[in-house]
Amino acid sequence: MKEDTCQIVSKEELVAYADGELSPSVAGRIAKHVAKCPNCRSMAEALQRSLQVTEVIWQTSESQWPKTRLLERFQSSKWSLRKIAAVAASILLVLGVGAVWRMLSRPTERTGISREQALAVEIKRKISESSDAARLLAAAELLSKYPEAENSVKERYQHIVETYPETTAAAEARQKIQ
Amino acid sequence: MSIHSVFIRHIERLRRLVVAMGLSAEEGQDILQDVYIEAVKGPPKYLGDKEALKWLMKVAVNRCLLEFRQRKRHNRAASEILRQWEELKKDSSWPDMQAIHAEEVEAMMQCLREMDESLQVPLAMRYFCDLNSTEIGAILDLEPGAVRKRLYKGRIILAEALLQKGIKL
Repeated sequence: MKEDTCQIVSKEELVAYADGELSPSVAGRIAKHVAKCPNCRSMAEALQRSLQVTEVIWQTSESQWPKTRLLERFQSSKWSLRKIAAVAASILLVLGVGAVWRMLSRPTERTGISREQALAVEIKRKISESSDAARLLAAAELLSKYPEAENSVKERYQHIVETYPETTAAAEARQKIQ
Repeated sequence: MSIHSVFIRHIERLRRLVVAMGLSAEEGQDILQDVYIEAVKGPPKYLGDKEALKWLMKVAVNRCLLEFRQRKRHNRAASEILRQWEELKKDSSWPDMQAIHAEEVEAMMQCLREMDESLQVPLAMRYFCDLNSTEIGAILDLEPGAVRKRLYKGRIILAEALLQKGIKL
């Protein structure tokens, strides 16, 4: 190792110089000294180089991370809680509506499905679809606040449009895509 | 903004912090998962957005340090990083990447492995996570002046490691 015998510029000043943290006048003074002093010059070069190499090591480690999946992993865990809550609410709603409907429209015949029953099934389906689509739309809108999730949000809007085309949420999702 | 939202918004920053601590992607993801759980549980008192981020970073740093101590830190083999770096170098168009030599990477890897965490953590936060001395101090419970001293010390140790190896710069 080269001995640091320089009495004019300290190592701390060289670090600040290498990092560009000094005022222009002090930086100028040190630059003049570094040009003349071999010890300080090699230290200044080593300071820059070592940081450069360290950053490469960090970047190499970073490149091993599944970058895009990371955000989804945490968003999906929050999504799960929302999903469970929303699905539970939808089931209760559908069961409630179904029970009331059954009470009001009992079939006259024991065999076959009455017109009212068929209508009830259709209404249940529409309620369920609207509820699912609205829930997905709400989640997509929450995600849209984060620029990292832009692609994921677009996919969610597209999914709503394709899966629940007749719902209000799909109409809104269509507008968002455009 | 809820602390969960702060976590999601700054997940890349938290990830960089964990990366720079020398942990593998798998270990790092486990740590982020723990930080996430802490975020869901919430801090001991209400925090504004900036304070919430600092709190999350503090949780991440403490969790990484715990991991270091349990696993005798930097358990990733230097050869693994070197192999990954060689692959990255092959595909990279970044001029700095092309100009770096394997012996320099080895020297810095060894230096980072041996460096005390009290120096390594501020270095990672300053030069990889772009935090300033005041922000680092707030996370590590240090005065900004003390952070700067640690940064200087860490930088000099890294530079001297290159000079000691006699690597021509």
